[in-house]
Amino acid sequence: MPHVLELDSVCVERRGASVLNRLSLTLRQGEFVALIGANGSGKTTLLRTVLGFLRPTSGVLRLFDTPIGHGRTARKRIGYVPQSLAIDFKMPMTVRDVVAMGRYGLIGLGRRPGKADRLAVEKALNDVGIADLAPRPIGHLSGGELQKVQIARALCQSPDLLLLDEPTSSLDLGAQRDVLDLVGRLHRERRLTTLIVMHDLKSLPASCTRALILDDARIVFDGPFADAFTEETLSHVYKHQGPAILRELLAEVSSGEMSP
Amino acid sequence: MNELWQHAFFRHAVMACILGGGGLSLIGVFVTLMDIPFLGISMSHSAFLGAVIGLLCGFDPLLGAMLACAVSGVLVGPLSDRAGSSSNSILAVIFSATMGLAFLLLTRIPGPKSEALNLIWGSILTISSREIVVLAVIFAVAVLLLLVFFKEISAVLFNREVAAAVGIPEKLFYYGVILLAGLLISASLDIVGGLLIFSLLVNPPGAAYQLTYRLKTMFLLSAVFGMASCFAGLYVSYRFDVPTGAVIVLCSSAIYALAFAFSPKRRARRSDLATT
Repeated sequence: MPHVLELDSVCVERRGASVLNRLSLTLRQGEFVALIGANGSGKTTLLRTVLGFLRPTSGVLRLFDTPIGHGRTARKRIGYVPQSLAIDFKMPMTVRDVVAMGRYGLIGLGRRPGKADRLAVEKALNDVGIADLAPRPIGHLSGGELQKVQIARALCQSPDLLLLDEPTSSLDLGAQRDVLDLVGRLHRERRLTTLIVMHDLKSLPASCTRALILDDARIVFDGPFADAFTEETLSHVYKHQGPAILRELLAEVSSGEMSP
Repeated sequence: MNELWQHAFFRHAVMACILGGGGLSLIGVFVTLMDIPFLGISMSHSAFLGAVIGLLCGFDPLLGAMLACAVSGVLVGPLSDRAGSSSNSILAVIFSATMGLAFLLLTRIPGPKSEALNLIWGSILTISSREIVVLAVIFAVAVLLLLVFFKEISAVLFNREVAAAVGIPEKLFYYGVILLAGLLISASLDIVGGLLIFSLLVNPPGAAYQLTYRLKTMFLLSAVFGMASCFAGLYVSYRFDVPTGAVIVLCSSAIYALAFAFSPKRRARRSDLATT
């Protein structure tokens, strides 16, 4: 199976500190991988490096079997859903305008969207189930609706790799479930290679089969999702949440309540 | 006012209202939606400083203002980017320092200071045909770029990270608009003066922002409000013999106040809050 993403001993430094430390990993076509870790472990940094927003200080990063060097070209093949955006209520753009932005890189500088682009926008709106929201001002949406718009915008790009950076952060439980169900369904239907950054091991879609756990800028676990629920991995993921919560989670694991 | 139209100075003033008022208000949409008013203020004060240096050193103040804005445009955007959340503090320091330096240099200009004072308060009735030509060229470039690259600009206005993620060279557009703002500001200094010019970058787009959910409409309304402020200011100053620049600023503030008071978005927000 072809490799979509390969990192070979990639290091990234910011302000003299190591934020990714000799990271090596491979993503094959069609995989659905969860990237999990505590705050500050390097999850978002890894996504930003893949997107070309940050440059590795050493190591090799290949996207679609090509060493990355021309960030914008590769970026057009990556659908990116950032953490929840703060959008002003009065922002003068509609949902359709924002979804259409997914096509802009593909259309090319200074060129106008054509019929195929307009059809791609309508298809993305329908696929994500937000066609009824299309004429609404973007600032009038709930957090969950806004994340669906971001996903539709990313799909509109016809990506070969979908990156989601904590798409459920700051959403209520119902909206979290909605968004994760949508991501799971899109992966099942399209076999789209997906890398999702999550804070929490417990709420991932069932189709997510592999977990990467980051701690202190290193990968400390890379394996089947079902094997990620051990005392050692949980202590990496929930290390900032205090010993009492960690003990509670470990009790859930041992009693079988917490599992994929 | 018909007899006034016979005079070149009045025709120049009307052209300045259209080109300067409209142009600054168009660029102001960027300043408003990116929430970077300090950047606009920094650029306008840099233009003022450059013009003063031009007067002091004996070269064209317009050239001085443009050079200063070009230098600021290249420096201020990346600097505010690097500073991140503290960018407003840094920009505030820059604009207060440029203003302090400009006023210090003003006192060093030998002889009569009327030209220098025009830079502070503006003097729309003394704009030359050469200044109008420069303003027209920059305005035309701004409108052309907006028309050709509307989709790229709208993505950058929505969110710079999203724009970069879809493959748009967002830094090129972001810094490009800052540079264009600087050039427009320097070419428009005579309309309301260096102290108040940023009000045309902020008030008309701020008013348009209250009234529409369409970006294209916001650009159009902003330009119309900018021109209307300048025309109203010109008329009121002629009618009541008061300083034109100050009245233009007050007119743009009044338009903003009216738009804010009658904004359908405020009603929508209230009903939205009531149902949550």
